[in-house]
Amino acid sequence: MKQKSVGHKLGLYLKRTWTLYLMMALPLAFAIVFRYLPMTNISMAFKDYNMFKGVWDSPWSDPLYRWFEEAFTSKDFWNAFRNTLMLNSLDLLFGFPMPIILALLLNELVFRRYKKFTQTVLYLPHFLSWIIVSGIAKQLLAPRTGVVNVLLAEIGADPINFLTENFLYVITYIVLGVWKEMGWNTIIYLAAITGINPELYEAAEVDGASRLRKIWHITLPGIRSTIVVLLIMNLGRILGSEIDRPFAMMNSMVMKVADVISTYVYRVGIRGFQFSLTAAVGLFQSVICVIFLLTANAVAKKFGERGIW
Amino acid sequence: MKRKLLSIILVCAMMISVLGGCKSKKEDDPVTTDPSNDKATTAPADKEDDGDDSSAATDDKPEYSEITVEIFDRGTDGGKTDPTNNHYTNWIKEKALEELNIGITFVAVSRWEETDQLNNLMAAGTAPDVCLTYSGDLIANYRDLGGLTDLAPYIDSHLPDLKEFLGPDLALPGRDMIERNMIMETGEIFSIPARRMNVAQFNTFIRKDWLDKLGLPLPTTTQEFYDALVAFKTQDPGGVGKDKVVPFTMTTDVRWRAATLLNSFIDPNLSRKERWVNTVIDRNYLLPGYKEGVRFLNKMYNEGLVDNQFMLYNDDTDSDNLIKSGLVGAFIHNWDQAYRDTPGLLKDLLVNVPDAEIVTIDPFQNANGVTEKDIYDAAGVNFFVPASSENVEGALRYINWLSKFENRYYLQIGDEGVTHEMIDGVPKVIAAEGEKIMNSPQNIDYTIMINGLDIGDPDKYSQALAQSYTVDSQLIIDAYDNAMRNGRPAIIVPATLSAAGPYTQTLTDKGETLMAEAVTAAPEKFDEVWDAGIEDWLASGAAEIIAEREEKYIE
Repeated sequence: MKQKSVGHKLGLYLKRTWTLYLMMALPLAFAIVFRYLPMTNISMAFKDYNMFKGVWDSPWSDPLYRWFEEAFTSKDFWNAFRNTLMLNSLDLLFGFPMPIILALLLNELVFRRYKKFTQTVLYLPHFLSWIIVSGIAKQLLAPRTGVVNVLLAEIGADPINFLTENFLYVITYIVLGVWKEMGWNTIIYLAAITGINPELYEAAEVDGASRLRKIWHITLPGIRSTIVVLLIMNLGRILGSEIDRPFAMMNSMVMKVADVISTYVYRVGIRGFQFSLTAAVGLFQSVICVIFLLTANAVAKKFGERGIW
Repeated sequence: MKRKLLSIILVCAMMISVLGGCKSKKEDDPVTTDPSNDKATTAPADKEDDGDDSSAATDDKPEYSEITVEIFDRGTDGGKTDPTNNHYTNWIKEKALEELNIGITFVAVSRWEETDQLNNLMAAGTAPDVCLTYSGDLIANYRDLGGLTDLAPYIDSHLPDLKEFLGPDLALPGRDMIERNMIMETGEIFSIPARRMNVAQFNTFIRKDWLDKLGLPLPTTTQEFYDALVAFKTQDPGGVGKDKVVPFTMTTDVRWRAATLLNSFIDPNLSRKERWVNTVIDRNYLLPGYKEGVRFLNKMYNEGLVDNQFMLYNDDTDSDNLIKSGLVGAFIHNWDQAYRDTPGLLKDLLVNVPDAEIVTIDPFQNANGVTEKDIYDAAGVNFFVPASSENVEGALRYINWLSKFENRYYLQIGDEGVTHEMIDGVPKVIAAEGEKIMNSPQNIDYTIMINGLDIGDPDKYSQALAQSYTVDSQLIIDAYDNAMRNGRPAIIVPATLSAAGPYTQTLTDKGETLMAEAVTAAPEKFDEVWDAGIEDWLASGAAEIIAEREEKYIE
C-alpha cells in the first residue's frame, strides 16, 4: 500500500517534470560521450600500449603496475614532482592573496573612471599567451641584450641572470605568473564585493567605523565564501600543471627547477613514445589532485563554510 | 499547457538538430570520397584511350589504383605554393597516371611537427602509403611495434631502377645501398634510404672583412682562431660597440654549433669500435678528448668570446639575427649555412653591412695535426611503407618510377628559363616566381630518393653544386673543399639496434643541459659540472644504449 503510493507519487512527479529530465539528457549524453567514455583509455596506464594495436588490443603489462613503478623509480619524475609542488605552492602563496588585496584597494577608489581604467590595465596581461610573456621576459631580462641588464650595465653593475640561475628563475617565474593573473582574478572578488549589502557600510559609518575597520569587518567577511571556494579550487590544482607556462619559460640551464610534471610527460611520454608511462603519471597526478580537492573541501566544511558542493 | 508544449517542441528541435548533425556528417563522407570515386571510374577510361595508342603498354599496365604520398609542409615564407597542389604535384600526378595508371594524392605533414603528426597518422592507420622521415629512431619504433611493411620481397621485382640508382653501399662493401637497413637476422627491409649526392656536413664561418681590417690572416690553427676572436672582442673591427660585439655565437645545440671545434679535440687514434659504441644518439660526449674541447669552449665563454645568451636560444632565430645584423665574428653550422637563401645569413648581412664578407675556414687540427671532421653518411632520409597500406605494390611502383633519371631530373631543376638556366651544359639555379617556384631546394621533398642535385654527369658535379646557390660560386667551391677536406665518414655497422625512442628525447635534453652548464661553469668548477652531467647522462639511458651497441658491434 505504502509502496504503491510512493510509486504513484513518483509517477505524478515524473508526469509533471519529464520534459526537464529530457532536456537534461543531452548535456548528460555529451558528458558521457566526451568526458566519461574517453576515461576508459586510462587503462593504457596498465597496458603495454602499442599504437598499431590500439588501447584495447594492447597487452596488459606485467606486472600491472609496471609503468607506475617505472615512474616512481625515475629520478626525473621526482624532480618534476618536487618542482610542480614547489612552483604551485609558491604561486598559491604569492599569487592567491594578491587579487584579494587588489580588489580591496580598487574597491576603495572613489573615482569610478580611474578605477575602471586601473582594473582594465591590470587584467589585460591575462589575455597574453605565455609564449608572448616569455618573449617579453627574454627581451627584458636576457643577460646581454635585456633592457634591465643593459640599464644595469650603464650604471656599471654586473648583469643579473634572471632566466638562467635556478633561484632567480623561480622568482621570475612566480612574479610573472602573479603579474599576469592578478588582475583577472580580481574581477571575481570585485563582483563578490558588489553583492555586499550597502546598508552594512552605512550602519558602520553611523557607528564611526574607520575605513580599515570597514574592510576588516564587512568587506572581507562578505567575500569570505568566495575566497574559500577559490582556495579550494586552487588547492585542487596544486599538483596539476599548465604546460605552456613552464614550457615557454624553461631553458636548459634551469631544468633542475623548471621541469614540472606536464613538461616531463610531454617530453618523456609524448615525444619519447612512452604513452603508457605518460598515462600512469597523468593518472597519479589526477588522483592526487582529487585527494587535495576533497580534503580542502572537507576542511572548509568543518570550519562552517559552504565548500564547493 | 502552452508552456509545456513549447518546451516539448524545443526539446524535439534540439534532438533533431543534434541527430541531424550526426546524419549529415555521415552523408558527408560519401560526398567527400565521391570525387575520388569519379576519378577511379574515369581513369580506366583514360587508360583505355592510351592503350589504343600504345598497344605494347596495355598488357603491362596493371589496373588503376590509388596511393597517398607524404609531403613535407615547410610552411615557409610567402610566395610559396601549396605543397599538395602545385605545378610539380600536377606534373607528377599526370605523368604517374599516364605511365603507371596510379592516382596520387599528396598528404601534407608539417616539417616541424613531423614526428607528432606522423605518430597520429600511424596510430590511426591512415598514414600515407609512402612515408618518409629523417629520424631513424622513429622508424625503429614503428618497426619494433610491427607497423611497417617488409619491403625485401619487392626489391628485385618492383624497385630495379631505385636499386640501380642507389648503387653499391660504399660504407658496407659487398652490399647494395638499397639493403642498408636490412635486418641481418631475418633479411627483412623496413625502410630504404635516399642517396646523398653531397656528404659535406660542417663548416666554420668567419667575417673576412673584420680579419682584413685587423690585418690578420685566415686562421689555420685553433690558436689563430682563438686569437682572431680575442681581437674581434678587444678591437671591435666592425665598429659595432665593444659591449655588443659577439665574437662567436651558438645556440643550445652546442654539439652542433661548435662541432668542428669540439670534434677536433677527440682522440684521433680511437678504434672504429670505440668510436661507434660510445657515440650515443649522435652525441660524442663520451669520446676521449671531447671533454677538453668543451673545456676550451668554457675558457672562451669565461673570457667573453662566446655569446653569453646562447642557452636561451632554442633554435637558430636569435643567433641568425645577430649574424645578420653584423655583430658576430664567427660561427659553426651546416657546411653551406651562410650561403643558403633561407635563412639568408649572408644575403641579409649584406643589406646591413654592404662590405661584409663571410668565408669558410678550416683551422681545427686534431692531435695528429689533421683538420679531420665529420662528413655525412651517403644514406639520407628514409622512406617506408606502413603496414596499414593497402597498396604496397602501387607505392613501390611509384617510387621506382620516380627514381628514373628523367623524372627526378625534371623535378630537381624544373623548366629552363624559369627555375634554372644552362651554363656550359650545367644548370644554374635562378630564383623562380609564381606557380613554378619550388617549396624546397631541388624539390627535395618530392624526389625522396635523392638528396642533392644529380645532373647525370659526375664530372660536372662540383660546378652544378656551385651554381645551385645564388651567391658567388667561388664561396661555394671553397666551402665545399673546406667541409670535405680530411672528412671522416660516419661509421656504419650493419647491426639492428632496438629503438632508443624512450631515451632519445631525455638524452637530447640532458645533453643540452650538460653542455650549457659545462660551458658556462666557472673554470675551476668545470670538471665537477662535467662529470656530474655525464653521470646523469649515463644513468638516463645512455649506459643501456652503450651496452647494446657493445654487444651488437660487428667488425
